[in-house]
Amino acid sequence: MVSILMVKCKMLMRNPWMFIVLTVAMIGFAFLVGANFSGKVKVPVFTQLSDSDTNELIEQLNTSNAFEYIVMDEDEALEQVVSNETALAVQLADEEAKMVLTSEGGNTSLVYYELLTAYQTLERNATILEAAESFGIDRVSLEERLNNLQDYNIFTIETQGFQAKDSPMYDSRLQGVFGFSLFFVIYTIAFNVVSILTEKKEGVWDRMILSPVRKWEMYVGNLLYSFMLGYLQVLLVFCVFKFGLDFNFYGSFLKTVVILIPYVFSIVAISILVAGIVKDMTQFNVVMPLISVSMAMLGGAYWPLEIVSSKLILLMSKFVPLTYGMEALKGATIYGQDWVTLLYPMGMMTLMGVVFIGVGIRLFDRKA
Amino acid sequence: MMIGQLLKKNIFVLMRNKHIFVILLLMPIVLISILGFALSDMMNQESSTLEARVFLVEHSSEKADAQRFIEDLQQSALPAEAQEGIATAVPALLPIQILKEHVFASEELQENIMFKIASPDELSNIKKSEDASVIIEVPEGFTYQFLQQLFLGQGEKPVLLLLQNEGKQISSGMVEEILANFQEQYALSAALQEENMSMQAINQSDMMNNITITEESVDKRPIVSALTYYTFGMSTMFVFYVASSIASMAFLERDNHVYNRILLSNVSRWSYVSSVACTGLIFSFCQLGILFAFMVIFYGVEIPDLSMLVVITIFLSFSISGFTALLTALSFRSGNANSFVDMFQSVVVTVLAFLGGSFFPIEAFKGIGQFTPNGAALQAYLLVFQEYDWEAISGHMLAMFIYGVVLLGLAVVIFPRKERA
Repeated sequence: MVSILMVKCKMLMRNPWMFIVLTVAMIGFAFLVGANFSGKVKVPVFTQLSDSDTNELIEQLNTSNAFEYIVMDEDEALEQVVSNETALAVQLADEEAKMVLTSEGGNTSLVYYELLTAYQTLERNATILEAAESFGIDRVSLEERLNNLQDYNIFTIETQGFQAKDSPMYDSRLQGVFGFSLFFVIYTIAFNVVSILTEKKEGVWDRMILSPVRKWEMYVGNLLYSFMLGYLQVLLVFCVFKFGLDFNFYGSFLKTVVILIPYVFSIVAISILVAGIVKDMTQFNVVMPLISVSMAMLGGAYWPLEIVSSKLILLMSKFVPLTYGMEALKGATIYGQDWVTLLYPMGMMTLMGVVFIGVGIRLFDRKA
Repeated sequence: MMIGQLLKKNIFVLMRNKHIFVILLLMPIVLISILGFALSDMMNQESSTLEARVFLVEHSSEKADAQRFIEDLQQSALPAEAQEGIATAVPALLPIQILKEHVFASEELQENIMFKIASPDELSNIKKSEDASVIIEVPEGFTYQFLQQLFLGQGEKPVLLLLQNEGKQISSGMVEEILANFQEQYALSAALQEENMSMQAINQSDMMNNITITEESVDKRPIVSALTYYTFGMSTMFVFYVASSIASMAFLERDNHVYNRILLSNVSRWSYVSSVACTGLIFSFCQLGILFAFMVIFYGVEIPDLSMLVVITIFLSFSISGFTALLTALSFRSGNANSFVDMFQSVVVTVLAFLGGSFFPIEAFKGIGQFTPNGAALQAYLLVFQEYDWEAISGHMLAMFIYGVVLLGLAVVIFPRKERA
């Protein structure tokens, strides 16, 4: 087994270019994805209100932690929408707001709620201040009170997750970053695993069988090698997010690194299963993108699974390791879940990995 | 003349290969269908599909709490009149009752909220089933503490526990918002009290003024649905596989010395490259056509302007023919197995698709996407669906055209002039 690993490493040393290119591509990709998801989503705003009213609204709106509302003139804002630089722009008017968009997207309903709340708060304050005037109450002190309403709470609301003590919050940045890294890693891992298909075809395996190396050692050696390379690459990507782009992992970076172990294992397993089913490299190259893209869609890498209500899709998502990978990564970071809770998704990934790898090796072994 | 013959040969060879149908047609159709299923609800009705399942768990009876408060009140040093005043006000102010009967039972929320009262024993079961969006846990003595705060301003502030399902962030956020509003109402009246002003003095109906927030497209053009977006997103991604499939076929021909024999028959290598590029053009056009037809027939996607769609498809196919020729040239030049094609299939396509917005609207990219051929095509298709005219899409057409010309040019430069033995 060790000798197989040695051979593999030597091969890598001799021809490292593919590996280097893939790794660099992946890190570049990570930077792109990270940059895409870093910071708040900018929403252009144009207005028909007076400057002071607009400023008040914008101030209220910009308490949002998902969006940043920026005032600009109408043409510029519309131009950004038409050229798809932004998903939507907002037009503010008296007691009404318009969301200008070209295609439907997930952000629309979130912006809708934020607009509604901002308008309602201002409206309420205005009504109260107006009424107060007729009572002859000092406007300034009342305004002060209204702006610090939380001091007057009769009761407090404490939020917790079902599984964890911390309150969950919607963090679309991490959702995006995790989704795309888990998705892209499938390609690089599959690329590493597939080398055994070529080796088998070229007769290297036949010669190895004649050597004292045992069969299980051949498999373990090869898969371990693919696993290590794949894991190294994901690790690099996560380090880019953590140290290069300064993403907030909520202090659970180490946990995420551990969660990636069963995930990479399950992807190695899927790759060997596919390698066992397909006839040649071309077919492998056909099937792998199909599997990775559909897994990413089903597993919630592109959009949170919550917005999916189709029972069929939700059922299918239960059989995809990526679902559990996302669940565990989000659980560890955003919801601050502990190890006991994380054990379930990690266990599921391991279980799937074991099943896939078992079936995969059997199929692969039977191939001529 | 020769190009026609070679073209015919290419088409026959490719048609014989069943993989090509899987990769070019089945794959995008499967993916679009998944998308169709997954997103269909999101499309039909806008945000109202989101249903929050709210469970309320009380650890003590609110009535007993209120009773206890009134008994304590009678023991207190307050004047009898004030005692009575408070005691009569209490029944109308019980917070949990208001929550149950007014806040969550209101008509506006009916559509989005399913409200249920559960007993504390059921708590762990509810948590385990993934059904619930949130559980509102009312701790023991909540109402007692609440009333003490409200009327006497003493004791500790009670805590309402909101348990949110980690898997249902959006709907549980909605409930959080509702509760925060509820909380704010009390805070507001407390704040006003300090100014000796009562909530009654304010016209409540004024506050809930009709604020209208509408969705509108630019210049009243149609809004592109999520399904349409992803149909074209996926199509513009999978069209790249035409290039890689044909390039690997060409490479196989070189490997099998078919290419050498073609050269021996006095056909120029440029005819060969042109035939490969033309095959790319024809296949990508057919692939896109079949995919769009499929979408129209099975998913009821309506195409506003067929001629524009066809022209964009031709331009996109032209740039794909550039990719086909370039990939073929690269793999002929390097002579190394299929490494360029593999690389293209696994890395380049994914990155281009990502940049072009096939997976995700390209919001934060500040328009890098439209400089990729697939991104430009996607934008152009979307503009067609918004019923823009030719002028609006001309820039994107130019981008695709330039890609085609530059890539074909590169292919000619790179394609080996002398076949190495």
